[in-house]
Amino acid sequence: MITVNKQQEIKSKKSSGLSHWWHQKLTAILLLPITVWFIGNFPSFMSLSYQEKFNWIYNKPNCYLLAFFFIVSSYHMKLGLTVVIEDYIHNENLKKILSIFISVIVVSIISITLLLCLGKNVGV
Amino acid sequence: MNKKIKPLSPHLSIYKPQITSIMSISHRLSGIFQSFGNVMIFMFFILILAEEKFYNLAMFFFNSYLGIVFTFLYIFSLCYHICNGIRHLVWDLGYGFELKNVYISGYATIAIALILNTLVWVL
Repeated sequence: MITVNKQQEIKSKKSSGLSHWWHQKLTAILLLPITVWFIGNFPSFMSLSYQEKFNWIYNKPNCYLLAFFFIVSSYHMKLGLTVVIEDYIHNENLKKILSIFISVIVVSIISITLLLCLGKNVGV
Repeated sequence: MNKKIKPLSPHLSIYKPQITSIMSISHRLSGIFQSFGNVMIFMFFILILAEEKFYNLAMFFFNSYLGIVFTFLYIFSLCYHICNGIRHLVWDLGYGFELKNVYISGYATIAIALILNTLVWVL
């Protein structure tokens, strides 16, 4: 017996499945060039001194590209890990705890990045 | 609803390992690894912006053997995830589903990922 409530649940799950898929593809495409840029710069970045690293992050194109990378990749990561949790974790409570944990991390990364970007612009 | 009568998806463990299944699970594993990696790298960037003494602590990790292995694996898993990700996007467009092409693109993905990884460290 499927109650109306259950039907609605199934419906909402269906639509979120579709948007999940689209969001994953869209973020994947957005991440392609930015990640190539990121891994291309990362080894040389690691060999810089503290002050040089600081300046590199604060330099105009880099800070925006980094912000873009961390925001989009965090969202992509949330989408991916959600699927992994759904596939391998069968304990409902653990599932909930893990997805809340991931959401908190992702929201923190995105808001810290945005705050830093805004703060930088307001400060300058 | 009784959970036991729900159909189960085929489990990885009952199949003979093949390049296709290994690559599929590697995509997930590299994704999970990068999730940890990304959070760590993000915190590292925040530490740089915060203060030099925190940064020095972080560099103590990155200069250790564990840190070097982590950095190398992080870059390599990104290279692999990018290449296999493109393969998945091409599949989503509806191309390359023939078994022969799946294998060709599979080997090409591994080769390109290795080349990309080498280029990153050499250049």
